[in-house]
Amino acid sequence: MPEASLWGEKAATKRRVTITVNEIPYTYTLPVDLRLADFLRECLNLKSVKLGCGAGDCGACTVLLDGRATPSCIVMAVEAHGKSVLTLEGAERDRLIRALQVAFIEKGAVQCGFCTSGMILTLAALLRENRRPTKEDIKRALAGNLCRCTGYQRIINAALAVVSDGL
Amino acid sequence: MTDNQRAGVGASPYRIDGKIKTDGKAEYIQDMDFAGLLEAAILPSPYASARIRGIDCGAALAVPGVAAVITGADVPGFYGTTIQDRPVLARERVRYVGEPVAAVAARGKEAALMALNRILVDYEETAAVFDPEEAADPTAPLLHEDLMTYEKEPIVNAIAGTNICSQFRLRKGDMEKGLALADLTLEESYEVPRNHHACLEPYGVIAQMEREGILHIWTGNQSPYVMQRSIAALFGLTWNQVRVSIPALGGGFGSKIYPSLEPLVVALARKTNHRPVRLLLDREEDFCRVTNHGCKIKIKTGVTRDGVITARQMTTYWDTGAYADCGPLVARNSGFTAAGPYRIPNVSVDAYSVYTNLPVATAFRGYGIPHLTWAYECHTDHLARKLGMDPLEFRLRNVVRNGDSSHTGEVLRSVGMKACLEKAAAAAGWVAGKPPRPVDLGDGRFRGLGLACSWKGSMRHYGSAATVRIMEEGSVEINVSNVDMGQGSSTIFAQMVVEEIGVPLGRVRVQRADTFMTPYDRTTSASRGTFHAGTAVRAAARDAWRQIQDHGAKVFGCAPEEVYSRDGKVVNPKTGEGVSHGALLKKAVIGGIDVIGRGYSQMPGGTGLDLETGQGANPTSFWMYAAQIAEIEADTRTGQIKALKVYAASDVGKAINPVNCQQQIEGAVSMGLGIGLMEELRFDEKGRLRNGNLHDYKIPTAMDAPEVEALLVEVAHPLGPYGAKGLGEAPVAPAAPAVANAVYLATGRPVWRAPLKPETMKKIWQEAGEEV
Repeated sequence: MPEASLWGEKAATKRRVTITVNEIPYTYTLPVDLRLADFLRECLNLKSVKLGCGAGDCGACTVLLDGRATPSCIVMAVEAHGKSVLTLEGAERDRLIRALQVAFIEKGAVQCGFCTSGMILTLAALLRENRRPTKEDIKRALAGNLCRCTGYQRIINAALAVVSDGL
Repeated sequence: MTDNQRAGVGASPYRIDGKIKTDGKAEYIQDMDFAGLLEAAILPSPYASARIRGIDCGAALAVPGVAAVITGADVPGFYGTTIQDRPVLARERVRYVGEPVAAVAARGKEAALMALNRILVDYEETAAVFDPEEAADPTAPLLHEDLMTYEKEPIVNAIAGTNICSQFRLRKGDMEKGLALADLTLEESYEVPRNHHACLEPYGVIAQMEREGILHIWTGNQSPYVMQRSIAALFGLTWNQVRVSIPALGGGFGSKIYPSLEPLVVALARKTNHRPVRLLLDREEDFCRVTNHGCKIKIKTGVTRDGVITARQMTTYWDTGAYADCGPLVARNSGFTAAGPYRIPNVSVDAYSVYTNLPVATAFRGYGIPHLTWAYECHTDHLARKLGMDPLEFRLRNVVRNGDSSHTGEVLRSVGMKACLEKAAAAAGWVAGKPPRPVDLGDGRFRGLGLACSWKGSMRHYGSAATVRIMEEGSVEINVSNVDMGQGSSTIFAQMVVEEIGVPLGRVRVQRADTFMTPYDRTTSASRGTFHAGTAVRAAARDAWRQIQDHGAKVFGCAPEEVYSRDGKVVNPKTGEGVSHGALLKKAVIGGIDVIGRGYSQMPGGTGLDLETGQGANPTSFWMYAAQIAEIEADTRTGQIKALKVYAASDVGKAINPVNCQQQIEGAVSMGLGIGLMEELRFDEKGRLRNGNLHDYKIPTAMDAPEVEALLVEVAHPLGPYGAKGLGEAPVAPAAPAVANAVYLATGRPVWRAPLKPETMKKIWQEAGEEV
């Protein structure tokens, strides 16, 4: 949710912010109407963040914002001030995300790949909160991530495989 | 994922593009970087039908950062897939809401949008028509007064003085006689409204007039060579001046087969002094770029008392939209399969592709077959009930078999229709003659099973070419212009090369399609990739392998045919020792060389269809067959229908990669259920799309996902590589009517219009309750 004070300032069209992205703090002066997705893609060249709808409907641009799965197209970059963002580019040493990536490949959960980054990060957020989610929990967590290729079954199975491996 | 994992034909190695995609590194059009990139924006028509009295672009050109502004007056000529009826930008009149009227290229999207806001267009609204059946009437307002003088493909059969841009006719046997033989006839009308591909990746294109005279287009398109040739013709260039490069595609499903907005971006790029121009559509624009056809279907069938179909008559009206695109081909190619996968001696089909004042309808996974299957499969269950027959038994009695004559007079071979029905039925526990009883859950909910089957032709033979290059250090490159948009074709081709050459899968890379590098392929469409491009890849691999054998013969001192491969190595037959492909090449050739194998898919036969009778002995390279049984739970209080499980059998000829085949089927079922249960584009009385976004237009989510048991039937095709047929499209069609038939079997309430939304079903069940 946007902070009231932030939007209350009349003249401020730019703000100086510090955002930690993939464990590196970045300080930028950013337009207040710059979306977090555009900041990540255009300023930091983190292109695993995909733009599918610009309205928070499809989940392709999902990142972890302070650990929560968040569509970065409906969050302004300045709202991430003081927060930490994780994208797949920063997940190389993250055991849970690595396990999800491997499971996606092994369970055949990848087709066109456009939804894949968002799917993996959404599941990572779920599994960090709940190490033993049921199939229904997984489906509910994925409800905001659309996929047109797979029919979801293999994505759900990939998540279940990581759950049963007990990572 | 190790190199020694079995990876040849029939195995299911992990996808070769799996890692770049799970790392988020696959590069789609929106991810590409260019120096000096300009952003394009389009001014859409606000009217479904209007005359353009004038356009004033003066103020737009004055906006800082604007590099080019174009209108219809700047771009002469027409383009189109089957009929050259479409201007790059509207000239004199607009024909649908959203039609490009002007376009801008500027430094940054903001400047482009600001310039658009300053373009003044003076419109005079004129009468519009939206329903395809009304539009087909000779008194309807005409969209294209010049229809008869446009350039057309030979399959187009336009009707003068109407909006019917093409009619397909099929006549087999004698309809009157066939109906006279029937004990029972049933006549019904069905409708499937327009729906949308909703690829997760919105459409994008980049074009640049390079300094050395090459027009370079980067586009997420399924058919680079169709693009190259259309653009060359439109702008007066030779084919070797047009370079089309295809990045990763975030889904296609038919929406990216033909040129749509590429000509417009090229027209801008010709005015920007060699700077690249990028058009990225936002989601709402993407919804109006192209859609699936809507269709109204009338069907009449005669059957004997013992359940033999004697005649079927079908009339279909395809809502093609403002420009023909592939509408005439959809009407034709679905038309010759329209009566369904049944032995019917007397068939009549009239299919009309009709202009309406709505966005351009294009190909959609299945090319009209899901619409037709919805009609003829719901109809089949309605017939079975009238006959007092089990729907499975009724189908088994009538489906096409090996050696049957199709509705166009083709002698059908390698037919897996019955096998698909039997496999799905066995999995679901449905025994012919004993339809499963629905279960009343006692609180207004019930569970039940429903069945549907379908067939689909591909298209006639068209060429594909491929090369396979073995580098001296042993890595391998496949050059093929088939586009992997998620269906997994690059892994399939790599498996074929592993099978033929014996290199480890990890050494094989598949090039992305690029008309300056990868050889000709007709299209990535009609489920033809494995069959045609696969045939070319296999031939190229075999050619490369023969060259390796020749080198081996020299190095080992044996006959070429004695050289074989084992465990990813080339084996010396004298010693039984294996060397890597690279090591052999190094020994065989001083100074280095690549082995280049060439392969083509050029098949004999292939006929057109007679314009009057629709008859032809070989209209398609192969047929696909699919049967599905859906287990549903319906809640009569809320109208909600949920698919719990779908048993989905498809005849794939030969599964090159069984898991990949199952992926295709699972995704197809999901898409089919979307069409059957939730998806519908809604236009208002002015032709404006009212739900062109992903919150108002619902596609299935993980919450809607049923369990899908994907079942593979393998009836080998004599011409397919290793016996394979195509797969991608056919399993979309049966899911929706299978759900409708489950409702019908349980309640006896017929439905005719898709989708079965809760509000519709609730009303039906309320009426049913009142009757009781």
